[in-house]
Amino acid sequence: MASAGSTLPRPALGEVVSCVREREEGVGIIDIAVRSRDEGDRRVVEVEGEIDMFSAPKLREQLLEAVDAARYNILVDLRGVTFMDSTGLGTLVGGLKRVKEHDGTLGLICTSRAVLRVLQITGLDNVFPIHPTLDQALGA
Amino acid sequence: MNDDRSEFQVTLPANASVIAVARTFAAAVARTFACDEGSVEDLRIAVSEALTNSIKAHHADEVDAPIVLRVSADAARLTVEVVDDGSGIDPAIARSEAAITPPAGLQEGSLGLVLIRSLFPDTEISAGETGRGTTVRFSLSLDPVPAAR
Repeated sequence: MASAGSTLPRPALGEVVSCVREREEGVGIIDIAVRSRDEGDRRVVEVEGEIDMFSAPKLREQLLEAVDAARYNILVDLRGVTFMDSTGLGTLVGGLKRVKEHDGTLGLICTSRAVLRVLQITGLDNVFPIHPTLDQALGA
Repeated sequence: MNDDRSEFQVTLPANASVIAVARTFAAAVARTFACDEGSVEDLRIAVSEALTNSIKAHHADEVDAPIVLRVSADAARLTVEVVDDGSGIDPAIARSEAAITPPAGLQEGSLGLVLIRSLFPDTEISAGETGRGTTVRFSLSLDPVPAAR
C-alpha cells in the first residue's frame, strides 16, 4: 500500500543500506603485496601488509604456485607483515602440509611482535622454523 | 559508581573485505579510551577472529543479514561484542576451554576461538534469543584516567 505524502523511495524496513561496497580484487581495503623469487634452492615468498580472510588467498596462491613449480623448500618472509590472524596461520599450515608431502620445508622470517605473538599462542612457533633475517634463514 | 557509558556500533556486511574495517574501528575506539598498544593489538586480533567466524557462519547459512560490531566503555572496562545472525555455534565448542597443546594450531577450524580465548580469558559466547545467531563478547580493563573530571 502506497503511503500518502511521500514521493521518495524509502528502503524497506530491515533493508541494509550498506556504505561499504565490494571492491575489485587487488584493490581492496587491505594493502597486501606478495612476491616470490628463488634464492638458490629456496623459494622466498615475501609478504607485506595485513593477512586475514580477505587477503590470505593472495599468499595461498603463491604457496601453491611454488609447489606446482616443484619448489618444495619455501621461506615466507613476514617481516613486512603488520597483522596476521588465524586465517593467515591456517594458510601457512596448509603450505607446510603440501611441501611436507614432498619432503620439503617451510620456514618463516619474522621479527614483528604481533606476528610472533599469534605464532606463540597457538604453539606454531614449535612447528615452523622461525628466523630473524633472510641470511640466517638461508644459512639454516 | 560512575554510570557514564559510551557505546559505538558499526553494522557490517558479511564480507571478508570489511574485517580490516572492523579491527580498525575497534582499535580507534580503544585508543580513544587510552588502551595501551599491546591491548589494542590483542583487540585487533580478537575482532578479526570473531568477524571471520561470523562471516563464515553467514556464508554457510546463506544469511544476507549484516553483522554488528559494538564497542562500549565505562570507567572500568572496554567491552567488544560481535553479533551475527548465523545458525549458531556448537555449544560444545562455545564452552570449551582454550586448552592449547601444541601443535593445536594444526587443527585449523577452531584456531580462531582458541586465539580469542587466549587473549581474553573472560570471553563469553552466547546464542541469540531466537535460537539463531551468536554473540561473542570480551572485555579488557581500562586504566583509571587521572583528573578526568
